Amino acid sequence: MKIGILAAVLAYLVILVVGVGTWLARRETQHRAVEGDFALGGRNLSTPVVAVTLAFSVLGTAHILGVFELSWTLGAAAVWFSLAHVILLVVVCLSTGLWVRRLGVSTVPEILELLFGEKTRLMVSCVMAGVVAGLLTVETQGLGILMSTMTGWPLHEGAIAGGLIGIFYVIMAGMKEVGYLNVINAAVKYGGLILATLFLAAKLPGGDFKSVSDFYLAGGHAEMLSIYGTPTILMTFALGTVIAVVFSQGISQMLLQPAMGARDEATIRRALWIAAPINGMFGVFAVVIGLTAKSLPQFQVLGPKVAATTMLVTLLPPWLAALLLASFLTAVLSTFAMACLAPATLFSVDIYKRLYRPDATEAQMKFVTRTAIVVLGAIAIAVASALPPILASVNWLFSWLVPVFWVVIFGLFWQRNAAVAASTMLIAWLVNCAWSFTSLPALLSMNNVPNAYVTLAVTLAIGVLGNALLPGKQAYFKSGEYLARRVQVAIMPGAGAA
Amino acid sequence: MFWSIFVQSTAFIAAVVVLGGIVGWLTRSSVRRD
Repeated sequence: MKIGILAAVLAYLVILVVGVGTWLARRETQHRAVEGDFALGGRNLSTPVVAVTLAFSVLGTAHILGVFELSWTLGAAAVWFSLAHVILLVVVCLSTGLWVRRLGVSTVPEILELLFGEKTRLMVSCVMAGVVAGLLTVETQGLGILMSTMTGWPLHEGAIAGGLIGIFYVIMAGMKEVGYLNVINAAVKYGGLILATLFLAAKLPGGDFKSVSDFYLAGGHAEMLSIYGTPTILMTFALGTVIAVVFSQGISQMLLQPAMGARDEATIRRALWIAAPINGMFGVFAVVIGLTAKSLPQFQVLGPKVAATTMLVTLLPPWLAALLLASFLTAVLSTFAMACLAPATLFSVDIYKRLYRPDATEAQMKFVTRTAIVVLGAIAIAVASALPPILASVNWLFSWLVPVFWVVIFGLFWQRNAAVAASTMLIAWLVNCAWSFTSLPALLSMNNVPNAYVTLAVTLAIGVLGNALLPGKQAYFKSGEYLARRVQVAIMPGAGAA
Repeated sequence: MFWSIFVQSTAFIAAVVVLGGIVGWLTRSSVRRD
């Protein structure tokens, strides 16, 4: 066990969480708690906080450990996982993020109620909570891998320890503290990554990455060094990732929660200039580190999952290895925190307050949200300890949200027919499950077609045909209900649900 | 290797963000200020 590194990483976390928490608590003792304070930061988050939270809430296990692993087989083209998120952030900062803020909602399913009524809201609420909770189990696995690197414990024990730290991290303050912590972490992570790349280059023959290039060129794999890879990689992996990421995360509670908590719409638009480069550039460093690990025989034998992290701990000076692991851990923790807060907020707002306690106070909501976080965290730890395959899970989970994205677009801008919306989502979800759990892809000779393509095709076919053939209510943004809602949100900007 | 990946990615990110910025500027009148 690398006790020095582990102690330094944990000390960093505790000092950061307790320090920022104390500072925020002192600063806000005179402020009255308003509704939505815990989960949405009082709808007063500034541009840097919104930007860094947006960039970091989708910068978790897949971006770090997933890209290390992917670069092993795809080479530099693995950076498309990051580049797809740049396109996603443009979509969120210019459209869906603005709409959720404009409508003054606290959860994505609330939009579904405004558009299609209560039944559709509950249906989407349950599915979204399940999807984000599923992603939470993936993040918990990531925490497990990082804990294992530091402690030498088996992966499932690492996942338990990592999950417990994750629950501690998120339960301390909620959205606002996670937002502030992310700003500090962004600086640490970038400093750490740039330093790590420099130190890594210095350890290589010649003091640069030429030996890494030579390794791939000598093996006849020049395409591994270009982000455009081969035409096949570009059409399947790159384009497939862009579709899956943009149409699922574009409507995800996890990503839209910081936008809901923004001070105003202009704040969200300005956030794009900071969020997109932060998120996108991270992939460059991850890919370079992944490619380097494969080129060194002593780490190549460890395989794609742990080679890169082991290389960093082995080759870098201990203080830098600790700093880097601390920044990776906090990045995964940020995503863990958002993945915990989002379904917990869905539960407290959409189920507890909506169905059982419409008059719940902020203190009661905070208690219910925190309880939900602990329960969700415990479930995630249990599932992550069983170590399900990460990429297959993510592919399947992302595809659940593709029909929700399009149903919202149709309802906001075209027309609203609740039956068409519900049928579109149900059929797309059924096809998604059939694609993952039956031999349907093999029967159609479409084994290599990812779930996101299929759910997108089914969603567009049924959604467009249904809305073209059947009548519906006026598009929401053209309706009188929207104008009434605008007045209500303007009078009570802190209020969420209708 | 590092610089070629860095430059290729930066060029793509800059293109997407600038394109997004232009779209945002063209649609600035639709942004609500509460």
